Amino acid sequence: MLDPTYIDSYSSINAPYQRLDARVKIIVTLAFVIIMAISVDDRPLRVIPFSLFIVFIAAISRLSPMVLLRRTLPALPFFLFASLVLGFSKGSEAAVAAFLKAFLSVLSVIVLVSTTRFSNLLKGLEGLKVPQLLVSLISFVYRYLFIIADEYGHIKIARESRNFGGSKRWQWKTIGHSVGTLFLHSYERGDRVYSAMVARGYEGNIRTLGTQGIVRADIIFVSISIIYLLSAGLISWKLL
Amino acid sequence: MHIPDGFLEPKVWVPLTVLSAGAVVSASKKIGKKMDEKMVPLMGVLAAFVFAAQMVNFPIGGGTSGHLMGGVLIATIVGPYGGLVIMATILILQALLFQDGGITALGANIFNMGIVGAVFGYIVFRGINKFTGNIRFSLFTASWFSVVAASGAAAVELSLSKVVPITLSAPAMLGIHSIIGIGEGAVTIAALDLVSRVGGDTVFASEVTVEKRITKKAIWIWLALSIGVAMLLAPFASQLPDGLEKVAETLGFIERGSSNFSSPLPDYRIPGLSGGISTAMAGIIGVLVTFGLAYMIVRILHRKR
Repeated sequence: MLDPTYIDSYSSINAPYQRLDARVKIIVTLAFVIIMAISVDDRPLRVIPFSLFIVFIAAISRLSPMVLLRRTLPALPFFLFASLVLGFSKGSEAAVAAFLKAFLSVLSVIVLVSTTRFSNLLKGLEGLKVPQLLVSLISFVYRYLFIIADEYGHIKIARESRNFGGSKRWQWKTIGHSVGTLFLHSYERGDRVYSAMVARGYEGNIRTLGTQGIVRADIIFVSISIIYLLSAGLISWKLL
Repeated sequence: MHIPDGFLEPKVWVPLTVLSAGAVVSASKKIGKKMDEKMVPLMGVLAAFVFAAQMVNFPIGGGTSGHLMGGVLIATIVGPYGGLVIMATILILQALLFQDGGITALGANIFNMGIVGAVFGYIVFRGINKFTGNIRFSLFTASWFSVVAASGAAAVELSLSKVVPITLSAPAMLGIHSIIGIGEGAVTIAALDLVSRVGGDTVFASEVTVEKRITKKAIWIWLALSIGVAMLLAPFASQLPDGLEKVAETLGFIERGSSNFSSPLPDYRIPGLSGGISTAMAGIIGVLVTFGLAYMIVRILHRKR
């Protein structure tokens, strides 16, 4: 998990979906998740047109099904547990529908994130009028999360090697101090990072190499997808 | 506490998404105006810090462990607006990269952990600190409250979507999180303790100790907030038999008991008014009475000192 290149490792494959503009991919993913959430309701059969859509997207991005499924694994136990609870209150149909919705939503997000360079994804969010501050923060967290998590690993090893244990009260105090130490290290790192960034010409916004632009293929893709998703929602609402 | 996609009904997640998006956008603008560009990398690294801190487990007894939420911790360091934006950042990343929490449920999750967990937790911290003047006590109580309230909000959302009836979800969620909250409180105190002792020159940590006098306006805002919460939550409260009532019911002496003792607002309802309005009114009266009592107690204590 703690490897930043793992996340968008399929973004450099030369496939049709990868060539689309990040904004288009974000809009289509959002439309997929939202339309599915509203139209499927408690009927598992209504999921069919939406799963076909995901299969289509996965095909034009040349992602192997095994890779996709493996990435959903960490989320599955929780979905299963939540659906089980739902099964007792709303019945088995609703439980299956909820599980499938959760699973397909996660799949669509995984496809989006693993086929888009993270910097382009951020640029896309910025283009879709997500506040600048939020986008900058996301980019920083993405970069430093792995380093800081590593740092906590070091603190933990140091703690263990000094015979961490004893009474609960003492444990909490030590854990709290570890968190405090982590904060101070992060804070000092923030200072250094800022100086380093200014030295490299930082002015407060994200810059990416390779400018993206909306071309005809993007417009065709986004309109076909949204028309398909909307009609899938409407038709399954009427029929299934 | 991260709600995935597919479990909330549109009538729950749509309004919460609108609410959370509005809150996050206006908070970003508010900070954006105030701060210089130097703050951005700093806040970014701090957000990464909270993300990492959420991986910190602490023992809660019985062989299980809870993990930190960090809402009050970060809000006392960077203020409530910064706390909200940082929590939103973390939740967006968790949904995108770690499949922790859904896309349609993002608004609900930001509401629970950002608005309730960080902003409301911070307000509670400020409020208790004003009245008691004891920072450690206020931090602990506010951290505990933030975790419990966030889990309560999640329980209400799930029950409104008819996933779990509130009679089942509320006791389960509140029960486990009132234990996890103790850990949250203890870790938050210890962390900020160390920060204010070792990093004495850091700008943020000193802000925690700055005392500002409570204004009349703040009291009114507090009162309005509490009434709002009571109106929203009171209808749920009345459906929950409390521990004693439950025992009484099973042992079969509830009828006898109720005839002997009559409360002015039985079952959080005002006699003569019907249904939801009556419950909401009872909630408001409850808040006003509690507030009045608290105000009197504080006035008396204040005079003695």
